[in-house]
Amino acid sequence: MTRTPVVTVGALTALAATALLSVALGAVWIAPSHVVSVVRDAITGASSTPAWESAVVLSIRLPRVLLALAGGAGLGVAGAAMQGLFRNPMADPGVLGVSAGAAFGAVASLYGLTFLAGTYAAPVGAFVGALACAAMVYALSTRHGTASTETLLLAGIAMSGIASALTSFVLSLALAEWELGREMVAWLMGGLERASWGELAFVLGPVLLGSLGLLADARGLDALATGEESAMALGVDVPALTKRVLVFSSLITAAAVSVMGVVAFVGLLVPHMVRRVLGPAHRALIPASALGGAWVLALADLVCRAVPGAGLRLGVVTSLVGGPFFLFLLLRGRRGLR
Amino acid sequence: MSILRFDRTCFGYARGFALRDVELSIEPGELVALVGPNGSGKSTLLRLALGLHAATAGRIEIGGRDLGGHTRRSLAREAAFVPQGVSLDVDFTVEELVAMGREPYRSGLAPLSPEDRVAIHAALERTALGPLRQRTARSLSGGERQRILLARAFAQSAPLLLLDEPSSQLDLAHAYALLELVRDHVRAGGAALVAIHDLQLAARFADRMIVLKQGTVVANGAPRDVLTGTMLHDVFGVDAQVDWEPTFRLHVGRVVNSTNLNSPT
Repeated sequence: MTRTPVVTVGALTALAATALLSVALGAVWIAPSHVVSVVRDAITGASSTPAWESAVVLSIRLPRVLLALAGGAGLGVAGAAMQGLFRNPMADPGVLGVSAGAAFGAVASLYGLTFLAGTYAAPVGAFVGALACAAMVYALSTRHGTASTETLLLAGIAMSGIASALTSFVLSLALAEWELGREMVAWLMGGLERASWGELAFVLGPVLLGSLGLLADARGLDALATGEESAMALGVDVPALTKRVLVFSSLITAAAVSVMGVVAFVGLLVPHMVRRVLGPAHRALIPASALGGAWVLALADLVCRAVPGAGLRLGVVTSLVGGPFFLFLLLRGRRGLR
Repeated sequence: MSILRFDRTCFGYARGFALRDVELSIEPGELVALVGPNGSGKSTLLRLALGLHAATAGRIEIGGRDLGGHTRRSLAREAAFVPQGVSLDVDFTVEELVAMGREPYRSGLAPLSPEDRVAIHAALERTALGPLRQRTARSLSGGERQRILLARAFAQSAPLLLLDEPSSQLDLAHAYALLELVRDHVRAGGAALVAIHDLQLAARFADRMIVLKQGTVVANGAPRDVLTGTMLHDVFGVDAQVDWEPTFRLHVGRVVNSTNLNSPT
């Protein structure tokens, strides 16, 4: 399509500008030109900028922004793939109960296992909880080696409900301990303030690997849009495709959610917006949803930090903006979602 | 060598047989109509040939090879399918949809090969969809969408076409035009098995007719030999008179039996 190059250049420019502004902004303003110098120095080994500036940029702000980009990209890609697989505009990266499982894993780990995992208690617990929940939903929905998408969706809703109830239970246990409860609630609302290079590395692997894996199935997902039997008759092994897409999407989402907390609407909304601009073909939809998700999340984090003292959390911002926007798309012209 | 062969093939659901001891073969150059009342097993038979269901007994051969020896891809190179009732309510363009027919020849993220492009172009031309190639399926009529599905099947370059009620949603002109295209495919050395309700169309286009009743083949031969008053009475439950001169005409009298046609045996 002729629009693709224009859209790509525009998206990359917006992404770079948002990222740069986001690194510049904080308790102390660091001019974007200085930010560029710090990064250049770090690469070339020179030292033309004040030490405090490079410390703030390199050890606090840059990993945070890059984490937002990586996590947002992951949510965008996973959302696009899940909507393609389920042929359902309501599908999001948390379809298999990944988000709810991550939340339970995080609070359970904070409550009971802090002594084991130290500062990584929440992310490690969340990652394990997310994948465990997805695996259980898949196992429950599979008969004779194939999982029906309707059963998967419904089992995912049921498991999410169970995991949410367990999360509330652990929270109520923890309410007596103020600090612990605070930490849990903060994680549940999503945030990036504890971002580090370690967490970035933890997210980047699954996001890159999973996105490439999903991209390789782009044509299979296209064929699936015309029906399961049609896709099979075209030579697509639909059960194998289903398994791959679920594994890659869940892996990406688990990694993203485990370091960012629950961030709603990004994975649901971004693929819809991209589809409207670029059409439904997954070969363009998947990478464009990565760019879109990265941009939206960087922007949401920027908003959180640009309004100091307002106590805005990442998940709150994405839901408060994403929810109404989703409704707008849904009701506009009564064309419905595609 | 037969393009498609069923050898004492059975398929059963929990309540009983959907197909029982089906024997048939389709040769190159044949357009075969598969007829029978609702629920007689026509769609099931097509799905078995595509490996969408597994036969409970007997053998199925496609392209001279047992179905079990095929992968999804190798099967898709032998047989293309035009499913029934696919609304094609999607925003893919006509060209993107027809290009999906090349799936069994593509791998990874490689772009379309020159052969792919030739096949897609030819399929668009044959079905007169060339001028609509950039339109989305959603913006087109039911008849045009059905033609997209046929073009996609053509792009698959498979010798055997399997069509499930391709004309059921079409007006007269579109239905005739569609079957003309299928007949062109057969004249060029391919073969087609078409499940169809419209006996008028079947008589006009088929070289051979296979009649299914309650999952069993009860007649198999030239339309003139198969379409008789006795068969229509026994299989379709109607008193009808059949004329063949100057062309096939069906005068349906009273309905003898519209119930229990498909009771499980």
